[in-house]
Amino acid sequence: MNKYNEVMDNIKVTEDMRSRILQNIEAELGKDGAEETVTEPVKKAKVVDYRRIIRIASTAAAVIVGAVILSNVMLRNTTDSSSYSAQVSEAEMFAVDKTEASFEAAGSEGAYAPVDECKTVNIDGVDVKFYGSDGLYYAAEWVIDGENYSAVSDNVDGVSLEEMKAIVAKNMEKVKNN
Amino acid sequence: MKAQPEVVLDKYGNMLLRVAYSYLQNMSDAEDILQDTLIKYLKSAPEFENENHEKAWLITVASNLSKNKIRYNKIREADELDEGLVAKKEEDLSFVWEAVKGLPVTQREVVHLFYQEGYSTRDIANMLERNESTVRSDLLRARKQLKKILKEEYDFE
Repeated sequence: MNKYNEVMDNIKVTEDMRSRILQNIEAELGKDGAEETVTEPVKKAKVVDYRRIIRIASTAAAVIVGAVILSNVMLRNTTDSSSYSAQVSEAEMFAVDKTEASFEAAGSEGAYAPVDECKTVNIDGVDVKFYGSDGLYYAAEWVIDGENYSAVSDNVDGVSLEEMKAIVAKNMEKVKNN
Repeated sequence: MKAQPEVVLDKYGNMLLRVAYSYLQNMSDAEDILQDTLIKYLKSAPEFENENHEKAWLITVASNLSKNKIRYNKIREADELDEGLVAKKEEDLSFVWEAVKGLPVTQREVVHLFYQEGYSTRDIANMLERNESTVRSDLLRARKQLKKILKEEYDFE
């Protein structure tokens, strides 16, 4: 079991948390008339973290404005539980960014892991950047008509450049035929 | 048969709490998400083909609620890992946690579902409604970044 799992093993529902949640669920479901007795929701004990207060205070103006705007948006977008389907394709979906990931050039810092190698190869008139390390490539990106495209290998550790080129060529063919 | 809150909580509580914690990185918000997820489950009473379907549904809901909460809270920094969560003798666990915490949300959620819950990249893509190739690339980048930070001392293969 790796260390991450060991960290997560310490995240558990405590008895206090369990009681609190069950009481709050009872109160919430009771609001719908499922229960006759309405139970007051249990508030968690707040531990004052002054460092957090200081951090919040330093950005209070921007956060308050943002929270007001967001709360108005969320209230407008809140969906009635009756419309909540098992597919979870409606209500409260996070606006997932559908764009393919982009990759940082070799040696640069950023949100993504730096890669050791970046090779540009022209395929059918398009410059394609291949990313990888130790002679194996696992990702590629290119631009056609202003649209960004990317492809990754099935093997998470990477494949040869020739295999990666074949994957890209296949993807390009799919795009052309769509 | 209508699901009983305590049964669902006891069965899925830890799992959902960990999913939420992986996003929000503090117990208070994670508890809120667990509670909200269970309320949605009990109110909508969806029908499932099997237990795996039920579990995937719950994880999807918890993930979406967590990401909504991240946007709402505009969380930029996570609370310090509660000392009670990590035994003092295993301080290296907090080091691992710090490394994971530093990943972008899109990588963190994939790391959690892959390593903690054991889902394949295809299942993760379906649950999170993301492109499978993007999920794989996020997992790969996360592994490389974690290996670099942890200097291959820990198993993240």
